[in-house]
Amino acid sequence: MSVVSETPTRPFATGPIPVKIVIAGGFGVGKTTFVGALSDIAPLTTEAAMTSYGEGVDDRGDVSTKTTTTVAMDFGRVAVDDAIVLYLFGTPGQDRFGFMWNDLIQGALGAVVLVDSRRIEDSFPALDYFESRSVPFVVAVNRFGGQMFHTVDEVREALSISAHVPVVSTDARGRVAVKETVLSLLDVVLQRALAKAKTN
Amino acid sequence: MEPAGADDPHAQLVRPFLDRKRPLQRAAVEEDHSAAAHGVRAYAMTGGRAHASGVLEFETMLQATGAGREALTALKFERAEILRLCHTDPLSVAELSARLHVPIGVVRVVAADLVSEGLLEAFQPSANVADDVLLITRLIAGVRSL
Repeated sequence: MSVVSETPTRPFATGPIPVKIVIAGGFGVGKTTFVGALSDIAPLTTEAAMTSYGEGVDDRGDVSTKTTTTVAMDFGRVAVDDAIVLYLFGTPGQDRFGFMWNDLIQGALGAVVLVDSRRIEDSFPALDYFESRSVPFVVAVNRFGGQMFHTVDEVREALSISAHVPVVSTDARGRVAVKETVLSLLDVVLQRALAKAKTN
Repeated sequence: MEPAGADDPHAQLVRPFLDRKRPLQRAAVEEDHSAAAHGVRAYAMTGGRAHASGVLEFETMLQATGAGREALTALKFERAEILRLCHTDPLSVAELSARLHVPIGVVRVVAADLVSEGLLEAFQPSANVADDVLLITRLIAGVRSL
Protein backbone atom coordinates (compact mmCIF):
# COMPACT_ATOMS: atom_id res chain seq x y z
CA MET A 1 0.00 0.00 0.00
CA SER A 2 1.61 3.18 -1.11
CA VAL A 3 1.63 6.41 0.79
CA VAL A 4 -0.81 8.63 -0.99
CA SER A 5 -0.27 12.28 -1.64
CA GLU A 6 -2.54 14.68 0.13
CA THR A 7 -2.93 16.79 -2.99
CA PRO A 8 -6.58 16.39 -3.80
CA THR A 9 -7.94 15.35 -7.16
CA ARG A 10 -5.10 16.47 -9.40
CA PRO A 11 -3.66 13.00 -10.06
CA PHE A 12 -6.35 12.09 -12.58
CA ALA A 13 -6.05 15.01 -14.93
CA THR A 14 -6.18 12.61 -17.85
CA GLY A 15 -9.20 10.58 -16.79
CA PRO A 16 -12.85 11.18 -16.05
CA ILE A 17 -13.72 12.68 -12.66
CA PRO A 18 -16.98 11.20 -11.44
CA VAL A 19 -18.76 13.10 -8.68
CA LYS A 20 -22.06 12.29 -7.08
CA ILE A 21 -24.99 13.95 -5.42
CA VAL A 22 -27.93 12.17 -3.87
CA ILE A 23 -31.59 13.02 -4.41
CA ALA A 24 -33.64 11.96 -1.42
CA GLY A 25 -37.23 12.28 -0.32
CA GLY A 26 -40.38 10.29 0.14
CA PHE A 27 -41.97 7.89 -2.28
CA GLY A 28 -43.55 9.62 -5.26
CA VAL A 29 -42.08 13.02 -4.53
CA GLY A 30 -40.48 13.24 -7.96
CA LYS A 31 -36.91 12.05 -7.43
CA THR A 32 -36.64 10.20 -10.71
CA THR A 33 -38.30 13.07 -12.56
CA PHE A 34 -35.79 15.44 -10.97
CA VAL A 35 -32.88 13.23 -12.04
CA GLY A 36 -34.26 12.91 -15.55
CA ALA A 37 -34.66 16.66 -15.96
CA LEU A 38 -30.89 17.20 -15.87
CA SER A 39 -29.50 13.85 -16.96
CA ASP A 40 -27.90 13.32 -20.36
CA ILE A 41 -29.37 9.84 -20.43
CA ALA A 42 -32.83 8.57 -19.53
CA PRO A 43 -32.61 7.60 -15.86
CA LEU A 44 -31.30 4.09 -15.40
CA THR A 45 -32.41 1.69 -12.73
CA THR A 46 -29.95 -0.44 -10.87
CA GLU A 47 -30.84 -3.20 -8.52
CA ALA A 48 -29.11 -3.71 -5.27
CA ALA A 49 -29.55 -6.99 -3.48
CA MET A 50 -28.97 -5.91 0.04
CA THR A 51 -28.31 -7.97 3.09
CA SER A 52 -29.49 -6.03 6.07
CA TYR A 53 -28.12 -6.43 9.54
CA GLY A 54 -30.28 -3.71 10.91
CA GLU A 55 -27.28 -1.63 11.83
CA GLY A 56 -26.87 2.08 11.42
CA VAL A 57 -29.82 3.98 10.14
CA ASP A 58 -32.18 1.04 9.99
CA ASP A 59 -33.54 1.50 13.44
CA ARG A 60 -36.43 -0.89 13.38
CA GLY A 61 -36.73 -3.17 16.34
CA ASP A 62 -36.97 -6.42 14.42
CA VAL A 63 -33.50 -6.39 13.04
CA SER A 64 -31.99 -9.47 14.62
CA THR A 65 -32.83 -11.59 11.63
CA LYS A 66 -30.79 -11.15 8.54
CA THR A 67 -32.89 -10.36 5.53
CA THR A 68 -32.05 -9.98 1.88
CA THR A 69 -34.00 -7.40 -0.03
CA THR A 70 -33.81 -6.10 -3.52
CA VAL A 71 -34.15 -2.37 -3.91
CA ALA A 72 -34.26 -0.39 -7.10
CA MET A 73 -32.41 2.87 -7.42
CA ASP A 74 -32.70 5.35 -10.26
CA PHE A 75 -29.83 7.48 -11.38
CA GLY A 76 -28.72 9.77 -14.16
CA ARG A 77 -25.49 11.16 -15.55
CA VAL A 78 -24.45 14.61 -16.69
CA ALA A 79 -21.24 15.37 -18.56
CA VAL A 80 -20.36 18.66 -16.88
CA ASP A 81 -17.19 19.39 -18.81
CA ASP A 82 -14.51 17.38 -20.60
CA ALA A 83 -13.67 15.49 -17.42
CA ILE A 84 -16.23 15.96 -14.68
CA VAL A 85 -19.18 13.57 -14.80
CA LEU A 86 -21.95 14.33 -12.34
CA TYR A 87 -24.03 11.39 -11.18
CA LEU A 88 -27.43 12.00 -9.62
CA PHE A 89 -28.65 9.12 -7.51
CA GLY A 90 -32.20 8.88 -6.27
CA THR A 91 -32.54 7.12 -2.95
CA PRO A 92 -34.90 4.21 -2.74
CA GLY A 93 -38.03 5.87 -1.46
CA GLN A 94 -38.95 3.61 1.39
CA ASP A 95 -37.19 4.60 4.55
CA ARG A 96 -36.91 0.99 5.61
CA PHE A 97 -34.23 0.73 2.96
CA GLY A 98 -32.22 3.31 4.80
CA PHE A 99 -29.50 0.80 5.45
CA MET A 100 -28.22 1.18 1.94
CA TRP A 101 -27.91 4.93 2.21
CA ASN A 102 -24.48 4.59 3.78
CA ASP A 103 -23.18 3.01 0.61
CA LEU A 104 -24.94 5.57 -1.49
CA ILE A 105 -23.79 8.64 0.41
CA GLN A 106 -20.17 7.49 0.64
CA GLY A 107 -18.18 9.97 -1.41
CA ALA A 108 -21.21 12.10 -2.27
CA LEU A 109 -20.77 15.87 -2.33
CA GLY A 110 -24.17 16.40 -0.80
CA ALA A 111 -27.87 15.80 -1.11
CA VAL A 112 -31.08 17.40 -2.27
CA VAL A 113 -34.06 16.50 -0.09
CA LEU A 114 -37.18 16.78 -2.23
CA VAL A 115 -40.32 17.64 -0.33
CA ASP A 116 -43.98 17.40 -1.23
CA SER A 117 -45.39 20.08 1.04
CA ARG A 118 -48.62 18.12 1.43
CA ARG A 119 -46.68 15.19 2.87
CA ILE A 120 -43.74 16.78 4.60
CA GLU A 121 -43.40 13.93 7.08
CA ASP A 122 -42.16 11.74 4.21
CA SER A 123 -38.93 13.73 4.21
CA PHE A 124 -38.15 13.17 7.89
CA PRO A 125 -35.98 10.07 7.41
CA ALA A 126 -33.83 11.83 4.82
CA LEU A 127 -33.47 15.00 6.91
CA ASP A 128 -32.58 13.03 10.03
CA TYR A 129 -30.07 10.99 8.11
CA PHE A 130 -28.22 13.90 6.52
CA GLU A 131 -28.32 16.07 9.62
CA SER A 132 -26.94 13.35 11.84
CA ARG A 133 -24.07 12.71 9.46
CA SER A 134 -23.31 16.33 8.65
CA VAL A 135 -23.88 15.75 4.96
CA PRO A 136 -24.39 19.07 3.15
CA PHE A 137 -27.93 19.29 1.84
CA VAL A 138 -30.63 21.62 0.63
CA VAL A 139 -34.37 21.18 0.96
CA ALA A 140 -36.27 21.60 -2.30
CA VAL A 141 -40.04 21.90 -2.25
CA ASN A 142 -41.40 20.42 -5.44
CA ARG A 143 -44.05 22.49 -7.18
CA PHE A 144 -46.52 19.94 -8.41
CA GLY A 145 -48.19 21.19 -11.54
CA GLY A 146 -46.58 24.54 -10.97
CA GLN A 147 -48.51 24.92 -7.75
CA MET A 148 -47.05 25.65 -4.33
CA PHE A 149 -49.30 24.47 -1.54
CA HIS A 150 -47.15 26.08 1.13
CA THR A 151 -44.47 28.73 1.09
CA VAL A 152 -40.86 27.74 1.57
CA ASP A 153 -40.91 29.55 4.91
CA GLU A 154 -43.85 27.49 6.09
CA VAL A 155 -42.04 24.33 5.05
CA ARG A 156 -38.85 25.46 6.78
CA GLU A 157 -40.74 26.04 9.97
CA ALA A 158 -42.74 22.83 9.76
CA LEU A 159 -39.60 20.78 9.22
CA SER A 160 -37.48 22.72 11.75
CA ILE A 161 -34.77 23.29 9.20
CA SER A 162 -31.83 25.16 10.64
CA ALA A 163 -31.14 28.60 9.25
CA HIS A 164 -27.95 27.65 7.42
CA VAL A 165 -29.73 25.05 5.26
CA PRO A 166 -31.29 26.56 2.14
CA VAL A 167 -34.94 25.80 1.49
CA VAL A 168 -35.82 26.45 -2.14
CA SER A 169 -38.76 25.77 -4.37
CA THR A 170 -38.20 23.69 -7.45
CA ASP A 171 -39.97 22.01 -10.31
CA ALA A 172 -38.71 18.46 -10.78
CA ARG A 173 -39.92 18.53 -14.38
CA GLY A 174 -38.05 21.66 -15.30
CA ARG A 175 -34.44 21.56 -16.35
CA VAL A 176 -33.77 25.15 -15.33
CA ALA A 177 -35.37 24.73 -11.91
CA VAL A 178 -33.50 21.49 -11.30
CA LYS A 179 -30.25 23.11 -12.38
CA GLU A 180 -30.81 25.99 -9.95
CA THR A 181 -31.55 23.54 -7.15
CA VAL A 182 -28.36 21.61 -7.83
CA LEU A 183 -26.44 24.89 -7.92
CA SER A 184 -27.88 25.88 -4.55
CA LEU A 185 -26.56 22.61 -3.14
CA LEU A 186 -23.15 23.08 -4.78
CA ASP A 187 -22.97 26.55 -3.26
CA VAL A 188 -23.44 25.03 0.20
CA VAL A 189 -20.72 22.50 -0.63
CA LEU A 190 -18.39 25.28 -1.81
CA GLN A 191 -19.00 27.47 1.23
CA ARG A 192 -18.23 24.57 3.48
CA ALA A 193 -15.03 23.75 1.59
CA LEU A 194 -13.94 27.39 1.71
CA ALA A 195 -14.63 27.60 5.44
CA LYS A 196 -12.65 24.46 6.04
CA ALA A 197 -9.75 25.68 3.88
CA LYS A 198 -9.64 28.86 5.94
CA THR A 199 -9.32 27.05 9.25
CA ASN A 200 -6.52 24.80 7.98
CA MET B 1 -24.23 -11.83 -0.24
CA GLU B 2 -22.26 -13.21 2.62
CA PRO B 3 -20.13 -10.53 4.24
CA ALA B 4 -16.89 -12.41 4.16
CA GLY B 5 -14.25 -10.43 5.92
CA ALA B 6 -16.47 -9.14 8.68
CA ASP B 7 -13.99 -10.64 11.11
CA ASP B 8 -11.04 -9.36 9.18
CA PRO B 9 -8.93 -6.89 11.16
CA HIS B 10 -8.88 -4.66 8.10
CA ALA B 11 -12.63 -4.37 8.17
CA GLN B 12 -12.39 -1.56 10.67
CA LEU B 13 -10.13 0.39 8.38
CA VAL B 14 -12.16 0.36 5.24
CA ARG B 15 -14.67 3.07 5.94
CA PRO B 16 -13.49 4.96 8.93
CA PHE B 17 -16.33 7.43 9.06
CA LEU B 18 -19.21 5.03 8.93
CA ASP B 19 -20.63 4.06 12.26
CA ARG B 20 -21.30 0.49 11.38
CA LYS B 21 -19.12 -2.30 10.21
CA ARG B 22 -19.66 -2.41 6.55
CA PRO B 23 -20.29 -5.91 5.25
CA LEU B 24 -17.02 -6.16 3.46
CA GLN B 25 -16.94 -7.82 0.14
CA ARG B 26 -14.36 -10.48 -0.35
CA ALA B 27 -12.67 -8.90 -3.32
CA ALA B 28 -12.35 -5.57 -1.66
CA VAL B 29 -10.22 -7.01 1.11
CA GLU B 30 -8.09 -9.14 -1.12
CA GLU B 31 -7.44 -6.24 -3.33
CA ASP B 32 -6.18 -4.21 -0.45
CA HIS B 33 -3.30 -6.61 -0.14
CA SER B 34 -2.66 -7.24 -3.79
CA ALA B 35 -2.78 -3.76 -5.19
CA ALA B 36 0.82 -2.96 -4.42
CA ALA B 37 2.06 -6.29 -5.70
CA HIS B 38 0.28 -5.85 -9.00
CA GLY B 39 1.30 -2.24 -9.21
CA VAL B 40 -2.22 -1.28 -10.18
CA ARG B 41 -2.09 2.28 -11.31
CA ALA B 42 -5.72 2.98 -10.48
CA TYR B 43 -4.87 3.18 -6.84
CA ALA B 44 -2.87 6.27 -7.42
CA MET B 45 -6.15 7.83 -8.45
CA THR B 46 -8.06 7.24 -5.30
CA GLY B 47 -6.16 10.01 -3.59
CA GLY B 48 -6.54 9.94 0.15
CA ARG B 49 -8.76 6.91 0.10
CA ALA B 50 -5.88 4.58 0.84
CA HIS B 51 -7.60 2.18 3.16
CA ALA B 52 -10.75 2.03 1.12
CA SER B 53 -8.83 1.52 -2.08
CA GLY B 54 -10.51 -1.78 -2.73
CA VAL B 55 -14.00 -0.39 -2.52
CA LEU B 56 -15.49 0.83 -5.74
CA GLU B 57 -18.19 3.44 -5.27
CA PHE B 58 -21.43 3.45 -7.22
CA GLU B 59 -20.07 6.29 -9.37
CA THR B 60 -16.54 4.92 -9.81
CA MET B 61 -15.84 4.85 -13.53
CA LEU B 62 -14.11 1.89 -15.11
CA GLN B 63 -12.31 1.43 -18.35
CA ALA B 64 -10.58 -1.60 -19.85
CA THR B 65 -6.80 -1.43 -19.89
CA GLY B 66 -4.72 -2.73 -22.77
CA ALA B 67 -4.26 -5.96 -20.85
CA GLY B 68 -8.00 -6.06 -20.25
CA ARG B 69 -8.77 -5.79 -23.94
CA GLU B 70 -6.30 -8.57 -24.69
CA ALA B 71 -7.73 -10.81 -21.99
CA LEU B 72 -11.30 -10.35 -23.15
CA THR B 73 -11.64 -13.54 -25.16
CA ALA B 74 -10.32 -15.64 -22.30
CA LEU B 75 -12.87 -14.36 -19.82
CA LYS B 76 -16.41 -15.50 -19.14
CA PHE B 77 -19.71 -14.31 -17.76
CA GLU B 78 -19.79 -11.07 -15.81
CA ARG B 79 -16.06 -10.57 -16.08
CA ALA B 80 -16.22 -10.59 -19.85
CA GLU B 81 -19.42 -8.55 -20.00
CA ILE B 82 -18.03 -5.83 -17.77
CA LEU B 83 -14.82 -5.60 -19.75
CA ARG B 84 -16.73 -5.52 -23.02
CA LEU B 85 -18.95 -2.65 -21.88
CA CYS B 86 -15.93 -0.68 -20.65
CA HIS B 87 -13.97 -1.45 -23.79
CA THR B 88 -13.82 2.04 -25.22
CA ASP B 89 -15.60 4.50 -22.96
CA PRO B 90 -15.48 4.48 -19.19
CA LEU B 91 -18.69 3.50 -17.43
CA SER B 92 -19.63 3.73 -13.78
CA VAL B 93 -20.29 0.78 -11.51
CA ALA B 94 -23.94 1.84 -11.37
CA GLU B 95 -24.24 1.98 -15.17
CA LEU B 96 -22.69 -1.45 -15.50
CA SER B 97 -25.17 -2.77 -12.96
CA ALA B 98 -28.09 -1.25 -14.83
CA ARG B 99 -26.97 -2.37 -18.27
CA LEU B 100 -26.11 -5.91 -17.24
CA HIS B 101 -29.12 -6.29 -14.92
CA VAL B 102 -26.74 -7.45 -12.26
CA PRO B 103 -27.05 -6.19 -8.67
CA ILE B 104 -24.64 -3.41 -7.95
CA GLY B 105 -22.93 -5.37 -5.17
CA VAL B 106 -21.97 -8.08 -7.65
CA VAL B 107 -20.56 -5.56 -10.09
CA ARG B 108 -18.53 -3.99 -7.31
CA VAL B 109 -16.94 -7.29 -6.38
CA VAL B 110 -16.25 -8.51 -9.89
CA ALA B 111 -14.97 -5.15 -11.08
CA ALA B 112 -12.73 -4.78 -8.04
CA ASP B 113 -11.15 -8.11 -8.96
CA LEU B 114 -10.61 -6.94 -12.51
CA VAL B 115 -9.02 -3.74 -11.26
CA SER B 116 -6.67 -5.64 -8.97
CA GLU B 117 -5.71 -7.87 -11.88
CA GLY B 118 -4.86 -4.84 -13.96
CA LEU B 119 -7.59 -5.49 -16.53
CA LEU B 120 -9.69 -2.48 -15.59
CA GLU B 121 -8.68 1.00 -14.64
CA ALA B 122 -10.76 2.75 -12.00
CA PHE B 123 -11.41 6.47 -11.81
CA GLN B 124 -12.77 7.94 -8.64
CA PRO B 125 -12.12 11.21 -6.89
CA SER B 126 -10.24 11.30 -3.65
CA ALA B 127 -12.08 10.83 -0.38
CA ASN B 128 -11.74 14.52 0.37
CA VAL B 129 -13.40 15.66 -2.85
CA ALA B 130 -15.84 17.72 -0.77
CA ASP B 131 -12.90 19.85 0.41
CA ASP B 132 -11.54 20.45 -3.06
CA VAL B 133 -12.39 24.08 -3.71
CA LEU B 134 -10.95 24.03 -7.23
CA LEU B 135 -12.94 21.03 -8.32
CA ILE B 136 -16.17 22.31 -6.78
CA THR B 137 -15.69 25.70 -8.40
CA ARG B 138 -15.15 24.02 -11.73
CA LEU B 139 -18.22 21.84 -11.18
CA ILE B 140 -20.36 24.87 -10.42
CA ALA B 141 -19.17 26.66 -13.54
CA GLY B 142 -19.90 23.56 -15.59
CA VAL B 143 -23.39 23.03 -14.19
CA ARG B 144 -24.22 26.71 -14.63
CA SER B 145 -23.39 26.53 -18.32
CA LEU B 146 -25.40 23.36 -18.96
